[in-house]
Amino acid sequence: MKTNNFTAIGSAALVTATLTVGLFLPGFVSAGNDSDSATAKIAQPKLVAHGVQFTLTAVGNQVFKAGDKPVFELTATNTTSQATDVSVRIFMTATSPQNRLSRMPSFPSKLWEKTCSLTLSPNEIKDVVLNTVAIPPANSTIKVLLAPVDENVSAEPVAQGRTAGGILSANDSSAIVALSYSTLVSTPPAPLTGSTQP
Amino acid sequence: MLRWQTLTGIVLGLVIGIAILNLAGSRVRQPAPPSGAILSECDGHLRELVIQYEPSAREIVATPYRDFLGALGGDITVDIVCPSHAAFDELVAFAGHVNCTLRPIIVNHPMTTWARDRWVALAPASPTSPTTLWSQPGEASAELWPARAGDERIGVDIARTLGSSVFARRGPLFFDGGDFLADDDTVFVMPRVLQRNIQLTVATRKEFILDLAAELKRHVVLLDEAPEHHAAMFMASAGNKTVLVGDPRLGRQLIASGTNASLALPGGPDFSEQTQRLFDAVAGQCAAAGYKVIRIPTIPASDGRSFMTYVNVLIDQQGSRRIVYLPFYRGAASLNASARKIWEDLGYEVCPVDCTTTYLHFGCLHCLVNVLKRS
Repeated sequence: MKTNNFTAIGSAALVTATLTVGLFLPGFVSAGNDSDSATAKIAQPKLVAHGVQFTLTAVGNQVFKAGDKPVFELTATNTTSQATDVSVRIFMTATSPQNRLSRMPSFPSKLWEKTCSLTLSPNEIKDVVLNTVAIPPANSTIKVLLAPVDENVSAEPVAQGRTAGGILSANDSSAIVALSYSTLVSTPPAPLTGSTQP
Repeated sequence: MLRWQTLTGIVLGLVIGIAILNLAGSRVRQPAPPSGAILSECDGHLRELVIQYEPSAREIVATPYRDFLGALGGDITVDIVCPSHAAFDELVAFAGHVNCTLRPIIVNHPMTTWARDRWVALAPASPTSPTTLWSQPGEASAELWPARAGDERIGVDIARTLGSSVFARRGPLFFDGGDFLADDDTVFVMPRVLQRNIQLTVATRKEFILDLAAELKRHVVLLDEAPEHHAAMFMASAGNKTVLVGDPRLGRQLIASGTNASLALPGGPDFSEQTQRLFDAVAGQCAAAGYKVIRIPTIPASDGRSFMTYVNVLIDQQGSRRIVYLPFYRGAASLNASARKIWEDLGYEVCPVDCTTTYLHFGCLHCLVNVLKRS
């Protein structure tokens, strides 16, 4: 008697559940979902200039927080079979919401800048440790950009793609964002990656 | 007559079925339906719009919303994305009498009041397929700015509320909706989009352009140089291969005429050669792309973000009739009149929208209103 009860209940439940899911599932999931969620495709951004590939990492994969003076390691790889002299500019900028009712954040302010000039033998890999002197402010988005040095452009250029203060502008298509991290203080800072923030 | 065992089974089955549906809603990933081209800014009749309303921004948006919503026809639906029902009721109260239909989308999370940048609408690929809301993978500064983090979710909020006619999809490129300006042939793309994606989501500029063209299904014109702002702050598509591009020089001439009572621009107007060159560069690139370029007065502020602009517009095409919802600014009479005449000379009927309270927050009418459907 008990077995028959369980069988009848189970059968009715199975049929009902199947009908319910079969009838309503397509409409239920088509109302919008988050499919195709994307993450950055390139794990380690690279700048290539004169056949030399530059990457930038945090020394020891350190996770930076507000008040730290970041230390970076610039790696230059000569991918050519010829010796070469090459220069690269490294910028660190900070951006924070200017006014939370505004449409967009304020312009980034330049925290630190350095130009590295390197001589590389054919296929040589060279690492350069960069000790920054700037202390990134709290509650900001910090970006570190790499840009090739244009020998025809002066040190503080007012030229295409660059602002009078020497900060790379959004018009400079030769620059890449090599690193990005947040100095949010109310919760643990976002992990340092090359791709977390656009 | 049903036995108790059967009734118990049906109830149990319904519970299980509903549980599965709930799980499916959060976990099932269905393939994205095919999408069509990015909606044109200047072609077709406006049918469904989206605005966001957040009560802390009331002083900024109440006047333009009242002007704009009050001018819309009865065949237009406006979806109002709000954090709560109380916010929706507040908007309905200050909007006053409107002919359009106001439909609430309550999201229950922080958000900003700027609707334009969160997603772009891709037209249905066929009469039976949905409109696609294409969003970026994440918001800039989202971790520092909870409202922007909330904005990141609004494409999905809209799709879930509106049902099968809308599908929300993310990525893979980083962008703001305002970084694109499209007509029925071309989409102009701002240089900053390339910098946000190069060596993060795409390896090269060529790959970037190909990816965008495939996604937006339009000829892509990537501007090499432009003011560092969203496109519609300094340019507008007017149809018939014509674009309007802001011109600070014209703005300066009108200010010099002394007929503008007050211009409360942060840091004063920016009439520098460098800024003028950026606006002129946009005009040059549009002309090189085969567009007729008409210049229109603009006053950029020295903060680089606040633009007194007359291209941040909404355009409606009803057959041969073209209507432009055009911002105006109190205390800028000659600028307003000059801009109005330029649009009228292009054959547009002008519906003025008071944006005096808005533009100092780095956006204007076009930045507040997104378009979901055009006929």
